[in-house]
Amino acid sequence: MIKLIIIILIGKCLLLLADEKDVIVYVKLATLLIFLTTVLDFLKL
Amino acid sequence: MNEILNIFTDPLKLAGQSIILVLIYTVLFLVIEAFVPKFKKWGDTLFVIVLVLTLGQTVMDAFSTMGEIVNVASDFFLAITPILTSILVVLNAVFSFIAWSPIVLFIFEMLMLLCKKVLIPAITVALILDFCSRFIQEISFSKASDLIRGTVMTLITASLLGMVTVLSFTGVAFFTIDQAIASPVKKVIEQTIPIVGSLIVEGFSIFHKYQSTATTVVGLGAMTAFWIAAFYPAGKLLIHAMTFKLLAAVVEPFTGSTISGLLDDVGKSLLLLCAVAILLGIAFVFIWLILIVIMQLGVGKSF
Repeated sequence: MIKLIIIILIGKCLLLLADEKDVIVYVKLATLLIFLTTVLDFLKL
Repeated sequence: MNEILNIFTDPLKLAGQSIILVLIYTVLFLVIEAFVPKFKKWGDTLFVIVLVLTLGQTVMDAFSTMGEIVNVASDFFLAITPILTSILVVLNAVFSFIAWSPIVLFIFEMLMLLCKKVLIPAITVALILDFCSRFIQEISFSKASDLIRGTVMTLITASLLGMVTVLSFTGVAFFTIDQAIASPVKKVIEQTIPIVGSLIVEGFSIFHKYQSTATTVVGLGAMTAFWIAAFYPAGKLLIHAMTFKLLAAVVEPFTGSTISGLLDDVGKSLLLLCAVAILLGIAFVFIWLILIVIMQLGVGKSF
């Protein structure tokens, strides 16, 4: 969950600074990866 | 006396302070936005961060209160179980012993486990997901957090139903659910937000049968103390939750949907936490009533 909060904070900063819509795709990708690793950690896989 | 009064006034003071602080921040951000229109882009994000920093302590307090209740209740049930079982054995109430003891133990242990391992962590996760959804609106976790809240609500309802069914006398004897128990559960399933009120009002009706006997035995003062001890934490959590709901309602016209939505979501999560506290409170009072009723049965009084 901490990883998720960190990626969301970094993502928001990037979105505000870059001012480009394309950045959101990378933020979504990073969030999905974090989410997947969290789920895998939780399932002990 | 002041210390006792402070116990009741502190949550209200904290609520008042939070409301005033958020109103001041709203005015401040509106003024900055009026003079520096470019600030609008950063404004909402900064406002969310300021809100988290200001009200985060209240939310943390709510969760620590909940953690304390669970620990106290866990210790209490652990301590009372051998006493209760011994009384049942000593009094030779064979039927009562068979019917009550293992089920009571099982139900309360399961309740503690459920609160510690599932309910509180699930509400925390829902709260974090709400924050993430509101912070970057393009990445929304709102369905996930709603799902978690719904599941927690169902678990609370199921626990309440199970506990009340097993612990009521008729339930123990015949495993039937009477109307007084069925109606609040129905209401609870139907409505999510007014759940706390419904739990309080209808949940109390199940004690009605034993309350008068218990009050005669231990006195009005002792019973009042039990009630206050059992439901004070839930009341405190309810005040916290309602503060967030009120804040969401007050700031909605002046800020974007992000801010009011976040406050509303936090309020919803705290209401769920309050429902968990009420559940534990009901269990706490119930175990006292069982103890008193069993002692009365032991001296030959019938109901």
